[in-house]
Amino acid sequence: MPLLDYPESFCELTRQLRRLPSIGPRGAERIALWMLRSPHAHPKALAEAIHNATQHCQSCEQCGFFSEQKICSLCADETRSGKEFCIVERVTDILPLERTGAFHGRYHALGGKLSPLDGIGPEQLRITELMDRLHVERPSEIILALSGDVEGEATAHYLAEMIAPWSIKITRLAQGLSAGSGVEQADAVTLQRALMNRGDYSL
Amino acid sequence: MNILTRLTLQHFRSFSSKSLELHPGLNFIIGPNAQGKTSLLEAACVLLRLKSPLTHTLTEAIRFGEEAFFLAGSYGGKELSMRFSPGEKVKRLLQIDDVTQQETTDYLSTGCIVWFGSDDREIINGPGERRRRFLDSAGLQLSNDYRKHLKFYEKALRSRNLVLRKQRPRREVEAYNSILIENGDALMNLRAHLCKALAPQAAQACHSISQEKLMLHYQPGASMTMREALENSLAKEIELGMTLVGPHRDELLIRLNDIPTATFGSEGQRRTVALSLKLGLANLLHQEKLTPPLLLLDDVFGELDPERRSALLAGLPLEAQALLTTTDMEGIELPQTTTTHFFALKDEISELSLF
Repeated sequence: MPLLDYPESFCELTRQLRRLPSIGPRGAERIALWMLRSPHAHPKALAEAIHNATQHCQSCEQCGFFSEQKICSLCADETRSGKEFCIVERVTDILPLERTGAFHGRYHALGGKLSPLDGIGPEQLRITELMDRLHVERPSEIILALSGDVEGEATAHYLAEMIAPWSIKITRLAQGLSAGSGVEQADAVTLQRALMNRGDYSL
Repeated sequence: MNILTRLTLQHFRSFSSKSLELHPGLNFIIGPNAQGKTSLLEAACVLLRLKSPLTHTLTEAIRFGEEAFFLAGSYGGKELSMRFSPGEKVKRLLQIDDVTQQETTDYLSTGCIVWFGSDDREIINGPGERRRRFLDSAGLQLSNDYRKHLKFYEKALRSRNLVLRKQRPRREVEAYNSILIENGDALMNLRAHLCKALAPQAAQACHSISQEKLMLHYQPGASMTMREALENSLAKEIELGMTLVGPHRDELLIRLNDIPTATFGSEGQRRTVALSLKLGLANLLHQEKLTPPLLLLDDVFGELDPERRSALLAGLPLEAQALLTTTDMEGIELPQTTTTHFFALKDEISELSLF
């Protein structure tokens, strides 16, 4: 045992900080020291913010995004088109898509993707909720914004088959060249997909 | 021509820290058992291919009591380094000339190897998995597409088999079909081409070892396209709880003098054929990559009679660099055509020294 260490309350603070993602022992110590000594730390406001956020943020019953009400502002927005549904894996996928400004429909987060090897089957995903929404909201197009790995592909196929009886148009995000890159840099699989998903360019 | 001129190991297997300078031609590492000769060859293999021929989990190769191993080497004028630390956020840190590689593609296209092990004859009489792994060892080094298709196929196959075994609804099983179709057809196609290119090389190697006639034939694990094969076998697959068609059922049929080697060949013939496959692969890699692969021969001489030893050494691609382990040099006749260097590995701490 070292002869001198921080007081117990300080140690408890660093222990709590260390539980946060991507914070190691040195980082925890630095944050704790700053909390104690900086005039700008406002620890009470921080504590209240953490408490408030965890108390009031819940999942939107429809799309699954964070919301302080039962229904999030986007799902409650009457001006949004209910004709198109964009299906994403995680709720955090919604904001990047929304920031493009190119989509004006509604979202539905599954909460993951099919991954039997990790014990995730359809029951663990928000698929029943999706089917219920199809009943009520009757969209005319479903856009699958799922990843291109094995789990994402399998989830896309599963959903496509689930939705097939509804005779709704199903589309998938195009895969191909990334913006600003050339043919030379692309690997064979990407190029193949880019060719398959090519768009009409005629004037 | 690419030569591994330096190999450095840290916390790898029984080595705390070791570095050795290697030369073109044959590099013999001589020493008694349990000194770590094989580990040196394994380190060269892991450095170049990020895979060990001896274990599936690289964690096993970390020195007891340590949490990471580090390998570095100078190969073909490039400085390669690899740090493997399974407990950390970046499990595998790869660098070429001190530049960190985000993807494995460039790193893996740097070097290729052929591993000769004492258990190579299992390729002939072992389960089909051994022959598919041999084909993979060739395919993975020859094309990046092969790696992608194999990775996707294997993941989808494992998932599908689990869903089948748990008797989940048909829809969940079929969610994986299109991935198996796309990657399975591609993989069988690549393997068919590979076998076509490998067959004459292996036949030639066999002819120069024992003047016998070796024939390789690729038999895909689906007799029609994957789509049709999966459709036809679904009922049976649900009954048995596993995927029954696809490249995981591929076979490499091997015949020596028109007789299937696995069932009829003598022990010596199996060794000859195993050797021919590896030499054939070495020559194929040489031809495709325009530089000979690094040859790693782990204790193969004990298994061979004097004629085959000589034939093996004479059959190595002429300019190829080779690392060879052996307990002694007795009965090994060195070819006159290549330069030879010797290293003695006496015990763990002592330096390797040139005779």
